[in-house]
Amino acid sequence: MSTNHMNRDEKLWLETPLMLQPSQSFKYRGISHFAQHALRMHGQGVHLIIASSGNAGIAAACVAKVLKLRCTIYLPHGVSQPTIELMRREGAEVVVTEGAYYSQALQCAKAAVEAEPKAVMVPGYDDPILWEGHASMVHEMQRQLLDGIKPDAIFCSLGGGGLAGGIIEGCKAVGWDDVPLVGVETHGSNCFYQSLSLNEGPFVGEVASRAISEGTRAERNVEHDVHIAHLSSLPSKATSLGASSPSAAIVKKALERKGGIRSVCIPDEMAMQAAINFAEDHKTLVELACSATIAPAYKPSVFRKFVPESASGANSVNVILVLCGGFKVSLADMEEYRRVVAADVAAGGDWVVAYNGDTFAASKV
Amino acid sequence: MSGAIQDNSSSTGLYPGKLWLETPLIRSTHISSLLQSNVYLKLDSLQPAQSFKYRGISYFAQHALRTYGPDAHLIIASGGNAGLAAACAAKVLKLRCTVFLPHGVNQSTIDFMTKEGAEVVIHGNFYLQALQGAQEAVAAEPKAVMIPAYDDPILWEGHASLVHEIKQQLPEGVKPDAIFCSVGGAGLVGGIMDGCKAVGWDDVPLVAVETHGSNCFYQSLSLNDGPFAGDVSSRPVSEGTTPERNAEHGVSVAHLASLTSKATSLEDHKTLVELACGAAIAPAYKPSVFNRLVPRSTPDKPVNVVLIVCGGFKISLDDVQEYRRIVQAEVSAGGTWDVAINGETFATSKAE
Repeated sequence: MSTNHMNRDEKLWLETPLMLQPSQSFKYRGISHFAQHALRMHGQGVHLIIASSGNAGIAAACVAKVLKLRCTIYLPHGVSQPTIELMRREGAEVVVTEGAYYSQALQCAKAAVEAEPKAVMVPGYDDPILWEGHASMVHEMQRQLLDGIKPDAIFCSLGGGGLAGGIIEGCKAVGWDDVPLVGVETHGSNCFYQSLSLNEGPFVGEVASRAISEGTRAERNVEHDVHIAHLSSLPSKATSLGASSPSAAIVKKALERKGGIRSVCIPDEMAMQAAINFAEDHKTLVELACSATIAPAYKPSVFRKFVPESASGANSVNVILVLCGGFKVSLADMEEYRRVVAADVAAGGDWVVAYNGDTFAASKV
Repeated sequence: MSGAIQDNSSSTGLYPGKLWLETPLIRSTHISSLLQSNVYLKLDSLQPAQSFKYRGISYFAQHALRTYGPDAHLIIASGGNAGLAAACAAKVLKLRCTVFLPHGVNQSTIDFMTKEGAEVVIHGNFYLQALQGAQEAVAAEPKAVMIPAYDDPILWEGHASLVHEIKQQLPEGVKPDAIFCSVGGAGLVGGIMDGCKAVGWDDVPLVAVETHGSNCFYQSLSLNDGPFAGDVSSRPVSEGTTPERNAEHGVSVAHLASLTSKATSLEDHKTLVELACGAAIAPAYKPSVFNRLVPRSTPDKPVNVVLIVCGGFKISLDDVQEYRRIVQAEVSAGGTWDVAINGETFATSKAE
């Protein structure tokens, strides 16, 4: 659907799985695709196991119900009750592990898969089958835009990079490899940005001269010949982004594609403000991980840094914002965001936005 | 050829060149499990003008373009959503559009219309006065065309597309055991009834929901022989209501003197809906009410119900917060709410 709430000169297209995908996020594409693959490979007795802090688990539960497969979700401590209830309502077994970190849940899930011959691990984001499923959205987008219109940019959120992987593969398939991809994270959860920084690529300056954040460990991934950052903590409230390291394969693909990668980090508060604006404009509640993608569009001066002009030289720009969706947002959350943003705006000053190794100030209002 | 750059090709083949979107029909896990039934939501909140009105009104606008040419000046009187639909359709069709609104329509709605290129005229304090202003403007201008808000067969024909889509979207062979929708002026109801007739669903029960403070349709039905309990002559007429016999259609129609209302939001689906929209969904969140409207599911025969999420722009986070406060206070106060169904009222627990 198109919207013109935000800018008069740009046409902003919203790809929205929010209410539409059965599990209320884009993850249903790749994860249902993977589940069907698992069913074909292992038969009806296959037991789907996944470690998740929410949306991937919900997607697995939903598809397992449709395919009539057993599904067990390993969650770290702290996942909200409505999320757990939704998983159970879909027929999945839920195991809440002792630790508060995703990696601990992942450990338990792996152990469970080892212990059971019929068990299959459903990956959260780092698998070509997942990306193939996610890529379906690009085929849809191309069909939904008339007359061969090619977007001047596609925006998406970056957690582990699964969504970006699907978009990159999909773009290649439909002849959009040269379409700029703007990947948005928050400062407190930016493993993709930090990984790009460790490599030759679109970031400014020499690799050797770029600072590495405290608590970050650099690693060279041999298989994909790319450097990856491992973050020790993820303080951002956009918890669904929550990956301490991204898919190495996707980081590599992002660096190699013709349209490049424009890697952006914003403050949590800016994502909150976008979530509020989006709720007022589109009557839809989105998680912070999702509103991060919309945030640049609500600040024209920021937006124009990422999409300065139309590739075709036309007067107006066509941009697609991929709204990844997500179940983990409530009216109470929105109220909290309103409070936090109001206080932050009242405190004055500007927000800092990072873009391909540079930072600039963005007005809070 | 329209100015749309989005693919709106008609998968039903029935409305070539249409401007509206074929919106999703999703099965709500949340509501289905609450009611042990299959409850589907038709998400017309996703239309370009954010409500179902875009169907019938864009259809009417295309008709006006064909009939009067590109100089046609579309005029509409509205409280909001119909005006938005007209503005959006006019923009796509590159037609001039003027929306007459009564005082009190909120700024964000007016801004939306203006952003779509429509002219907005604030006229009078009530919808009827805005309508008067619109009628005068149409009379004064040869190229002006009045877009009806709800009372026109062309509108209903556009709205009926909803039903054609639902038929295609439901699982193979599934016929709804009921369709729920909100009723204001009954344009949506008109479209649903015509659509049902067209697809062989004339026998599908239609549950039309209003609020006590805005129930002209209910009160109109009450004035006639029909599904309401008891004799017509024994039914009370609400204070402030004026019955009138409409000669053309042989039906008595009631006009209301005042409007107030209350209902719900769709937090499970991460969607904010106007009260008018929430009214159609409210029965589904109260099993005791739902079970009076629809037969019970059995394990081998689950009930299939479609709820029309008609949409609407006039809802904000502030509104939702206020509604939550009001409902919380009501629930704390204890007691029950009254629900009226076809002439009978019963009490339903506030906290279910």
